[in-house]
Amino acid sequence: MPNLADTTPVLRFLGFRCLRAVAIAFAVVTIIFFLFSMVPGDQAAYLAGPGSTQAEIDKLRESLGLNDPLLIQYFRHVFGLLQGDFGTSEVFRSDPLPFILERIPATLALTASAIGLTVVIGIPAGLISAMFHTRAPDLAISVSVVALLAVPNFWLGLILLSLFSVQLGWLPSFGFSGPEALILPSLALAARLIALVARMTRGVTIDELGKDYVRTARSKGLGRTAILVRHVLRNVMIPTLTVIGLQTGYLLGGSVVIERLFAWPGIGDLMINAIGQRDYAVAQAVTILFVIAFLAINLIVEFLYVLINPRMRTA
Amino acid sequence: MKAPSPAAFQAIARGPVAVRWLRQNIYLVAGGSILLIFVIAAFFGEQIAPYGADKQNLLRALEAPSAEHWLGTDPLGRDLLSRVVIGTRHTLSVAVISVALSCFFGVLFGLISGFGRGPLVTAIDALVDVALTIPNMILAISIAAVMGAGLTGLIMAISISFTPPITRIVRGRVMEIREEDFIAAARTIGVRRWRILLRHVLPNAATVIVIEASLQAGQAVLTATALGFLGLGVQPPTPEWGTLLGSGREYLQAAPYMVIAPGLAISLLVLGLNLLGDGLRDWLDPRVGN
Repeated sequence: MPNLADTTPVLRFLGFRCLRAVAIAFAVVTIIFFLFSMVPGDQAAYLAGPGSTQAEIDKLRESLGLNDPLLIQYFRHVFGLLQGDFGTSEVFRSDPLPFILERIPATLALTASAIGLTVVIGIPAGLISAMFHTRAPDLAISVSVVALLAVPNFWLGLILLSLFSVQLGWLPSFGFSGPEALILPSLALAARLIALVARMTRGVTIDELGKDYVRTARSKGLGRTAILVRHVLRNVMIPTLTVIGLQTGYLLGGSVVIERLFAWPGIGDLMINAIGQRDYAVAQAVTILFVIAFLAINLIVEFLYVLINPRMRTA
Repeated sequence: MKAPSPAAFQAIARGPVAVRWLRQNIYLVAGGSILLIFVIAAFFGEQIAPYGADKQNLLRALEAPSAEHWLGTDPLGRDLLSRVVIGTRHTLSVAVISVALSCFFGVLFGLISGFGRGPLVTAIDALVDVALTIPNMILAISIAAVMGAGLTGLIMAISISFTPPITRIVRGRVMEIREEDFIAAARTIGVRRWRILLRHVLPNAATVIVIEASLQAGQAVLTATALGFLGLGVQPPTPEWGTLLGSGREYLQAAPYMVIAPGLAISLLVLGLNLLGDGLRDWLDPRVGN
């Protein structure tokens, strides 16, 4: 445990990061609002449906507040959000929040298991690659990394789906029917991240293995595996964590595509449905949720840094 | 990329200069060759393809690969190989135009933000900060949704969402160059600021820009095809690769071969662009290889 005198500047730093995240979230809400206000066409006429009279359209437009100046609409939107009001979904004809909340667990399960797969496959692959530097296993892993970085996640998903669900019938092809339904979508989503983490782990491990503390550990008679697990892994974790933190944006964005492909009942699938139905209140709400999730994960990564890296505690 | 072993260095040291250069820059050569094939397909798609992209033959719908149709046919009896070859133009041009646009604005904003001072710089920095916290794909999807599906929306979506990362990288490089002695020297003899920017800073940042552009082009292809797959990109019957995969998904049971060729084409193109980017970095900027 660090002593208390050391923690004050760290707490101040973390507090500052939290405030910054809140400010950025506010700015994103603003940008997203004005972006979605640029949707061409008359939203009220679209929502009223074909065959509705001009009077009905006007009434709907008035009740949606679309006649007010944009700035007024913006402030109403922000105050609404602060009170947990995400606007009115035109498709559900109600507050979209319950529909969004009920879909969050599926997205959470998908991204969490993708991160799990990344750690469980990516880090060992990188370590093996580094231990067998320039030999056959290293070459095989390095080639796989280059290949995985070029393959689109949705195509990988399509191939996995075609092979394991349609042809072999081993795994369910869509929906959230059980833990085994997670395997294919999370693998398709994680593939790119696994490759990035394996490459990063390999590079850092090769660097670390050449350092003095490794030689010291060897000279006191520690075995290769013990050095790797007890000493090197600790130092490898920091850049690896950085890669995972930076790539959460990719995971969240990728989850939209993967959810669509596997008919996964998460918020990404909801977002694409909403866009297809011109239900922009929902699309906007989901976008904001994604950004808040991204900001939150990056804050967690910064907290983890402080936990893993003792040098940060006195920064 | 892996560092060459001592044996590789010895191998490199042998042979004439041209051969040595080729060996040293194997990624550059491989990536460039792959890209060249796609560029040729983009320009001469109709001449290379055995059939027209839209030539239907309903009597031969959903046929498995055969001698006549190497990759099989789609539900309208169109030749899949021809559609993929002719589709190269659409995917590649979206990527090239989008990356060119995001590079133009990224370089412009990066130069201003890295070299200037004042409220404009603060505004650019803040905007980039905020834009980078919107996951790239989510931003692209939102823009495509607002602009409506189609070529213009797709290009807008990709070029806007790729501008912030490029701005950030150019800014970093410009801030390094700004501290160099030759910039101080130019200032001392009274060279005007915009002239310093264009004649001294920009050429020195060019390497970073070129490398970044080729790496981003690979990402742009992935994003463009993902949007096409989601139905937010170029619309059918245009044989854009992502759109082809989107329609192939519906026939996964009856015609699994429909999704093979477009996906392979995307992967190969992205592989080529990634190798080209890595190769350019090794060739132009040997300090930063990993």
